Amino acid sequence: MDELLLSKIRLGAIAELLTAEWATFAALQKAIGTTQGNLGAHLGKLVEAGYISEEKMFVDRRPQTRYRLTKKGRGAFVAHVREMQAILKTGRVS
Amino acid sequence: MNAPEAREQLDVVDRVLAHAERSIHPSGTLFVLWGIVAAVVDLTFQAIDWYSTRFVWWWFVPAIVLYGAAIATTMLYASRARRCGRLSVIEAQYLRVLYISLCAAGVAVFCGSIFNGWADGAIWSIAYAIPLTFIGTQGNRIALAGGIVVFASIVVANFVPHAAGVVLALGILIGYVGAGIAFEAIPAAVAVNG
Repeated sequence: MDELLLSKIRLGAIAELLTAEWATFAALQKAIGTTQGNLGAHLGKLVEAGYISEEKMFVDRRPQTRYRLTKKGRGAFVAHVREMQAILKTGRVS
Repeated sequence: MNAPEAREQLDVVDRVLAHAERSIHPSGTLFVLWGIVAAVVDLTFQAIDWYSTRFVWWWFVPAIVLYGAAIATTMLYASRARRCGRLSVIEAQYLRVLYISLCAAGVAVFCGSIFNGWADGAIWSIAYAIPLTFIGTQGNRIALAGGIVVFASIVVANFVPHAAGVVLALGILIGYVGAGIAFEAIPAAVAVNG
């Protein structure tokens, strides 16, 4: 089981990025509904694990951070969801 | 982990994915502007074909002015898009299809000795119809109808060589500009779900 994806905030961030080419920090915060500091810490862990990538840029002279789901992150998400479905079917941890 | 906890995890995923965009409902302004540019170019060539025996540059002044306005508006939209918080996978795919189609049309215009006569106009119509139909295949019925109209106009123009420019222009005005007006007028949910 992927311990990193057991957090609802991290799982939600990955799920949000699944259908997005990229999303900004602000968009992820709006979609997940958590505080800036909390989300920042969780996204940091996902970046560290290589599940998402981070791009920092300036848009209209304002700093903007964009996140993208990586191949590794997509694979981990799919495996995690499959595992959850298996638990639901069998009722025990695989 | 037990089954209720696993269910809770899957519920988080379901909630997030339920809000994800699954179709495209683009802004209509660019469709209207670029459609009018293409239609005016087609009609200008048709007018030259009917009323003039030699090429006169000032016939293209309206098209050039409209072309400049379309470029300026597109740049404004691109700048606004960079400021938005999220680009969906489907929108990104649409933009790639759009760029590839317009590049193909640009190559065709450059290779004038191969694509002569009304081929240029027809290729621009194809370049407009492909992204429109692509949006249609993602569930937007207005775009699908518009794409079919533009494609159909090329077929009709093939059988009306003396007025091919008018037919191609009408196809773009009804299919492409019409879709743009509808995108602005009709809410996304209605356009996608009916």
